[in-house]
Amino acid sequence: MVAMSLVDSVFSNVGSAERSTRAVALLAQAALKDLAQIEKLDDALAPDDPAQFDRGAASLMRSEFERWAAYTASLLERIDRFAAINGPVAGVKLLHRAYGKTRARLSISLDDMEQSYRALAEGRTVSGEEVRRDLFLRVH
Amino acid sequence: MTYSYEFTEPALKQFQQLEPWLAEETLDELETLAVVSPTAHRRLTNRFVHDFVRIRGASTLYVFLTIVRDRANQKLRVMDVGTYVRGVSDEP
Repeated sequence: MVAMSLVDSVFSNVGSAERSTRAVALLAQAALKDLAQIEKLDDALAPDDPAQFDRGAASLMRSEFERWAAYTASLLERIDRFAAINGPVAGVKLLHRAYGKTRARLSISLDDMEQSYRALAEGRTVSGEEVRRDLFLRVH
Repeated sequence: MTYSYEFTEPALKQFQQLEPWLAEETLDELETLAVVSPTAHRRLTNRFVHDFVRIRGASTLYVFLTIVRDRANQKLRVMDVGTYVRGVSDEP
């Protein structure tokens, strides 16, 4: 991740707006690439047996996603402020989406994940048809 | 080929926290995922994630699913349902 001091230096640069916008877009792109790397690592560390849950690896990966989300929240705050004055910046919509997706991912706790794998191993599952039927009854 | 899908009990509890309209959208997404082309059948890893976004009023809702694929039984098992809501005033 690009150091926040460098990020701040990009935002405080009083050069041409076009040049600054380009630099800010590169920061957004770098953050998206960082996330793609973390996601690849997460996939690579997933156990071969999908029914197995590796809490240690999941915990380490969660820390990576948390670190990325905290960094990106600060970055987006600066980008949005910048964009309000200087106009749209390429890649920002994608970064907002990636941030939202990561926050949704982080809403699932390690305990929730572990319980779900345990339920799978014990065969405690509910079919999609049944879920759809219950939802229909809840709504109508 | 079409897979069927199911929820683990903890994932179902998370799913039940969704507002009904978003729950329906989630099931629709799962039904789309369940139709797996032969290419995707070969390509998809056993554990994968799927996310989608919906906009409702002034809020943007992000839904994140972790899914385990059981090739032998042609089933998708929903392991987790995560959500995040961003309002207009909640810019990070």
